[in-house]
Amino acid sequence: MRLTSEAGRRVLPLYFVISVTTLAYGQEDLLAKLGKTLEKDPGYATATFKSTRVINSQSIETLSKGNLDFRISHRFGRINSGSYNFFGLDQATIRLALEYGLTNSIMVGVGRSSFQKTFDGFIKAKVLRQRKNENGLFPVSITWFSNTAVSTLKNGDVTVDGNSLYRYSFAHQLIIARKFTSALSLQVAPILIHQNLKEPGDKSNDTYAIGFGGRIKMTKRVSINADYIYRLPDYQNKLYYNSASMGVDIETGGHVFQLHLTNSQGMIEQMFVSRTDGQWSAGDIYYGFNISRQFKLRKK
Amino acid sequence: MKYLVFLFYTFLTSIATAQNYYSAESGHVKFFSKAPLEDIEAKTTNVKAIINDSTRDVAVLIPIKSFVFKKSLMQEHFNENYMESDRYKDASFKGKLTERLMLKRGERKEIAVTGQLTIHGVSQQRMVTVSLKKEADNSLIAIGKFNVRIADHNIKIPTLLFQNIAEVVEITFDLNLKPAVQL
Repeated sequence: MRLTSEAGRRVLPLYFVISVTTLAYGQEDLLAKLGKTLEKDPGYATATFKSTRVINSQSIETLSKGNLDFRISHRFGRINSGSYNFFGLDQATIRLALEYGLTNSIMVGVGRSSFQKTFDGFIKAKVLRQRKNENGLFPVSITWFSNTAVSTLKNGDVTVDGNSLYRYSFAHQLIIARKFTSALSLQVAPILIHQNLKEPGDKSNDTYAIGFGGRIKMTKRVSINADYIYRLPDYQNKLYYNSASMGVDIETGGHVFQLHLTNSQGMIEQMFVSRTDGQWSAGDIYYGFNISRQFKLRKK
Repeated sequence: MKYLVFLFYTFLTSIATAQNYYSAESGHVKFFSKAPLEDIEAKTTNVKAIINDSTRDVAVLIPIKSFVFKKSLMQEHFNENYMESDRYKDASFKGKLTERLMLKRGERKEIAVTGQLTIHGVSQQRMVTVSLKKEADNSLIAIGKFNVRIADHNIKIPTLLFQNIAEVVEITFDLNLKPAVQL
């Protein structure tokens, strides 16, 4: 075979180019090849908040499966109560709670508040999760929360047909959150509170409200948090105020310390959404903290 | 004569293309750190590895988020606070065997591998000794361990937690590589 034709002269160099590139292909970056074979990361946003609470409000976070969270929440007295009460530190209300992750998306909890000697029980579940991957994205995480509270305070004033249903109250909310960056997370939550017992000034047994919350991480383990709950005008009891709080989260391994200033003394929804008695502008501010300690009860 | 060159060249390039690959779709990688308060241990089976016996090239890739801890909170902190796995998704090793495998079936050999270990986006030149054994079915078992000083990869430990986390983490691996002509 003699490659003398015009076509042959053109084909031969082309052949060399192709075979040389095949040779080069053998030296191709192995790491890049491996990258293509990796399973795709589902791309869920994690740790939108450090804790299951922003401050008073529930965050979208739930406990992981088998994790028990022992929470001690504390609100001192009002800062404007003067030096005689050591600016509120002489008094305190407390909520002790045990909360547990049944699955990675469903948690339950029980708590006892010293304020009005109230027991509460709740369930909280992740409905949808923020994610971003090759197949698309979902911009927010959505968590549902419902609780029931019962006050056990001995009360001579109220006599309601010999039964104690008036002691019960309920809260429901959908929490919608987005982790915008690794540092900034914001959430908004439509809330419904139903109180069986109407108080003076209540327009209804129900209070509809919208909760807002957010955090900005200052370092990997410290963040500044704030939450605000706006009661819809048709349901506002003018004797109470909208709850507003700000504070700091400090995470140290299994603990999260939340230190904050708030105008709410209660630590469950039926207390701080519809029964916040302090007014920031008047100096009715409570200093408070939440301590969360998680224990792993079940091995994976 | 031209015909002969043509033929020889075709033969040569086809040899070069048919490389002797060994690839691992999975394996076990574990890291362990002993600290006064509690031992920290995590495992993953999501390991991709490849050895090109012809060029002695080696590559290993592990997605950081695939590491599983006993405590989920620890896993969250590992990803969020230490490894920043949203930014630095994978740990990788890219290097070369210092000699060809040349293994008979059933034979075991220790071969050093040199190359770049990349963790938390920081690459370090490392030499790791791997024990390689060729099985009866021609697959390759690669076992080894090495230490990583976490400061070398710019992973910071806050002073508050210093007692809880060791500065050096031991990494053990165990990969089963199957022969493959192409990846």
